Amino acid sequence: VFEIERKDDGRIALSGRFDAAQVDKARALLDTFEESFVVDMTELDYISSAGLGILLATYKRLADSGHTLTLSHMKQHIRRIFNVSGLDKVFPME
Amino acid sequence: MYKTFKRDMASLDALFAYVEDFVTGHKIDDKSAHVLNLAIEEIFTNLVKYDAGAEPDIPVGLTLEGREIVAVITNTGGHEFDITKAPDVDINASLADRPVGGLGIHLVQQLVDDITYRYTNGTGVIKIVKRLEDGSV
Repeated sequence: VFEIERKDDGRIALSGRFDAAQVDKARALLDTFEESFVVDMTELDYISSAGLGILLATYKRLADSGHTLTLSHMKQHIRRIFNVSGLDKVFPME
Repeated sequence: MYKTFKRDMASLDALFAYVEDFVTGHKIDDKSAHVLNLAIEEIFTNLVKYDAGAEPDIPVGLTLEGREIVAVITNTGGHEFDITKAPDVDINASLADRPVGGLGIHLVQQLVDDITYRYTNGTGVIKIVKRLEDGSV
């Protein structure tokens, strides 16, 4: 089960499985952001290229207006996906 | 074991359940299981997105041969697309130069141990191999 929600501290929390069937659900929330924000991946168990694509598209849109999308607390096997795709050098990480 | 899935994104849950049954039944280590899930999703969704006019059913086979997981995905009546010859992705490109799509096949190529593709009489067969991690069953 994939969940995406805005936390009280303003961060976006992803949890579960971010696969190609979850693209619309994720986009519906991410498209509402116009300024910099942080995505907390503490509870994210899986991400495929579909999920990477949504995050990248969101970051590119924000960057056009000088904002950023920062990723935080990703599990080791999730980080490996970012490393292999080279996106670890694209996204700010904390 | 083989199972057939409709060429539709809505099949993903059933596809993941099928992979999970295989992983659990064979006590596959977590790292190998993660790669297997990812590779199967990327290949299946590619067939859904880019070969919509092919036969509606996509058979997916999973077997454990010694210490190797072998996955076979068959695409009948579709275009010839050799996954092993897909264009390279520039993983060093800057944010501005990064295309949003195109990473799926790259991930498969990088994470599995072997990929082969065969196209005969309108049927493409993709076979991927993932060796179990050291220390697993």
